[in-house]
Parts: sequence; C-alpha cells; structure tokens
Amino acid sequence: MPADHLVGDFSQDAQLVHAARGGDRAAFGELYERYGRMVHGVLLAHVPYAEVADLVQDVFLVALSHLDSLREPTAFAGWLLTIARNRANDFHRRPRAAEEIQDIAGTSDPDEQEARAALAAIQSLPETYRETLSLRLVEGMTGPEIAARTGMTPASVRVNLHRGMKQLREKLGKSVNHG
Amino acid sequence: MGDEYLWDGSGEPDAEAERLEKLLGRFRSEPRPVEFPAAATSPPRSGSSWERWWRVAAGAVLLLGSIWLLRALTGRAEWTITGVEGSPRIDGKIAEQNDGWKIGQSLETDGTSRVKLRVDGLGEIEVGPNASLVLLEANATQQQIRLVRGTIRASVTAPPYVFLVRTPGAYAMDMGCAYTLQVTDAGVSILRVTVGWVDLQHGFRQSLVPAGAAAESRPAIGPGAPYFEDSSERFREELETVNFDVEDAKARSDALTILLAEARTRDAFTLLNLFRWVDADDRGRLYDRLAVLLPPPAGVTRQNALDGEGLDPWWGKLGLGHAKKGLKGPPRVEE
Repeated sequence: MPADHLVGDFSQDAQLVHAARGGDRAAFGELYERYGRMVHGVLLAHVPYAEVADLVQDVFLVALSHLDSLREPTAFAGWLLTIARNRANDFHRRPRAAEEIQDIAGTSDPDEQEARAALAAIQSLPETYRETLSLRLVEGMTGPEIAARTGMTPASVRVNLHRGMKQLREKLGKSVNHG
Repeated sequence: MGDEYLWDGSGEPDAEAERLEKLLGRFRSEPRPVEFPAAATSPPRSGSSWERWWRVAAGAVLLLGSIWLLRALTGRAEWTITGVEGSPRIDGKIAEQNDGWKIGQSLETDGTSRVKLRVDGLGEIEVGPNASLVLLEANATQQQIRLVRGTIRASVTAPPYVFLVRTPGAYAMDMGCAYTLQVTDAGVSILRVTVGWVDLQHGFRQSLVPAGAAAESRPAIGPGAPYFEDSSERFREELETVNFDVEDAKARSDALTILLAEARTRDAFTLLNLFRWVDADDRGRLYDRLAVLLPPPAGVTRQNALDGEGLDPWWGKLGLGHAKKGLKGPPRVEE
C-alpha cells in the first residue's frame, strides 16, 4: 500500500475517532483493523509472544475507554503507540507466577527453534531497532507503511531497518557459530 | 544488496531477510474477533475495590484538569515578550516589550541579545544569545516550539505533555519542571533539568531525565541515556559512544568496559538506564557492576538483567522519585 495513501488516512482516523466517541462500535472496530498489526508488532518487540494477543486487546480497551482524552484525533496512531509501550512496561513491572514467565522451551521442531531464536535476537537489539524490525520481519509491513503508521520519517525507518538488520545478522551469526 | 527489498519488498530479494520473514511469520498478528464494550467511553467494569479507587482518583484528576483547563481558557494562550535585552527579532523585525509571538513566526537573537517570553497559565522561556526558534503551536492545551539552535531556559507550570520543544534530535516534553535546552550548530541537543522531569522522545527511543541530570540527543538517532554532569569526563566520553555509535557494536562494547570501570555509586542511575540501550550480550556485566555500586533489592536477579525485565524495584533505590506519567504521547508534526 503506498505510503502517501496511508498518510492521507490520518483524516479518516479522525473521522473514525469522532464516530467511536459517539458510541459507534464499528468505527472503533475499523481502527482496530487498521492498527492491530502495528500494536501487535510493537508489543512483540518487548514482551513474550504468548502474552502479546491479550495485551493487544488490553491496549485497545484502554484506548477505547480513554478516547475522550485524545485531544488531537489525527494523532490517534502515535497515542496508541504510547499506550502500547506503557502496557509493555506495565507487563514487566507486575509480579508474575513462575509458570507464566517460563519460555515454552521444549520443542523438537528445528524451524520453531530457529524462529524463537530469531525473535529473541530481535528482542535483544537496542530499542531503536527492535520495533522497526518486528514490524518489518514479523508483521510483514513495508518501510513506507511503518513510517506512515508510526509517524517516524521514512529516512529514520530506512536507517533503522538497515542498521537493525546488520546487527541482527551479527547476532544470528554469533549464535550459530557458538552453537 | 537487498536494501530496497528490506525497505519495500522491491528490488533484488535479500535471501536472509526472506528466510527470516518466513520463519517469523508464525508470530504474525492473526485477525481475531474482538468484543468491545458498547459504550465507547466507558472503561471495562469489574466492580472491584481497586476500580472504585481508580474511579475516585480519575474523578480527582478530571476535576483538577477541568480547573486547569478553565484557567487556561480564560487566560491568553499567547506568547508575550516580558523582557528584552539587545535587539531580538520576530520575523526579521526588532521585537519589543509586550509584543506577541504568533504561530509560524521565527524568533532570533544575535550575539548580544536575550529575550524573555511568557504564556499565561503555562509557563515562560528565556532565550539566550545566537538562538533561533519557531512557534509551531500555541493553544490552551498544546504549546510547541521548534528550537533550531541556541539555548532556552524553560519554566513550566502546565500539566505534563502540554509544553513541547522540538529539536533536531528529539522532542523535549515537559512533565512539570524547569530545564535548560541547548541545540548546537551540528543539531546536537543537550538537556539539563533543574526541577521535575523531562521526557525526551524520538521514534522508538525514550529517555526520562530527572532534576540534576542531563541528556544528549542526536539527529536521526534520538536521545541517549541520561547522566549526572559531575561524573568523570572519561565516563561521559564513553557514554557518548554507547549511546550514539549505533553502527559499531564492538566500539559500544569496548566503551562500556571503560564506562563501567569509571562509574561511581551516583552513576548507578545511568547504568540502570543502560539496560535499555546496551546489547543483550552486555547486560550481564552491566548487572555485575551495578550490583557492586548499588546492591539490588530482594527479588531482582541477574537473570532479570539478562532478560532486560523486572528491574523496576532497583529504580526505587535511587531515591529519585517518579515521573508523572500521562497517556498522551507527542503529537504528530509532519516534516
């Protein structure tokens, strides 16, 4: 999807926000359709995969209940990102039962093992890169889409993808070399 | 090779990126029916005592917010010059006491000029010599200034996230405080907080800076981890590499070695911040050094550090208090 089209969608975001404030559930559902993938990718950069689906729903419920506090409806995407990061931080703050934080370690599927290792490598990257790479490699968003959805400049996204991928290659190469 | 593919899927495919996409696709978001409450602005109901307290607290915040909004709306959300030294200029014209500064107008000082401005109910700034600013937004709920170069001193009474300064390296978002912000000719910004907290953000980078601390931001990179300015010169030099040498993992790791050796007890604040910035491979030795300077509270383990989570109780031991957090992030400003 061309980025210019997505940038133009911010005015549509505003219309949907106005409608959702008036109780239009379908309008909020459309906002969820538009931004669910972005929120999922951002959360996955910070928290275990098994927690992400519930947290995505949590983020949208918080957004729904605070929609009236959003002063600039065209800024919905950036506001939603802030909520998502706050929820990810909250997740790490709250105490959890041991079984909740255990990785699902035992799998004999080599592809599954490799996928988990790759995801862990992305999550270990500096913050600057991990969300961008999660959105690109996991969620399948293009660079222009990431820029349009997150509000970052295309140049920043391009640099993050390039440098983040370079560091990811180094990490994955190292983990292979060290067995 | 492959950069265009990584960017938008066009051009020569990058074999490793393609393979990772295929592998990681299993973690992708799946369309899932979601049930939202019918009343769009009603929070989910649980009836717990926690929720009742939350509602009381929310009511209090709403009341205070309403009082502030009423005060802001009945006052002028416009910038007025309250002090002049030399010949500052607004849109090229020499500015005088009581002149207004409007949205879109530039404000410039030469080597011998200073100017002080105030917006009723929100705060004031002092602009030092050789500075250049543009007023981007000015209303009761949002004040936004672009600081192109030079130094400003801000003293803000508005609620968190109302007063924002945009620099080439980051948004400086006031959280109820006073601070000095300088932008060099190279676009590097240096923030020094004197009261309260400032939230620096750029893209995915964020740095919360408390009173007494400073932080730098770089164009195209964003803010670095904050530090106390009485740390050793060597500590600050190496921190610069750890913060901003994003291209060279080895240089960052080598710099971290020296930084850890140079760190004092007071620098534990910077070290705690660095868990978010250093590569995962370096978190273990960061934990080891920090544990010597500031022993971890019960329940915080080395494994927490390696995982990069569960470190919050350690923050409490710093005695710096907590930033006032709001849900609202930076507003979108198109380039």
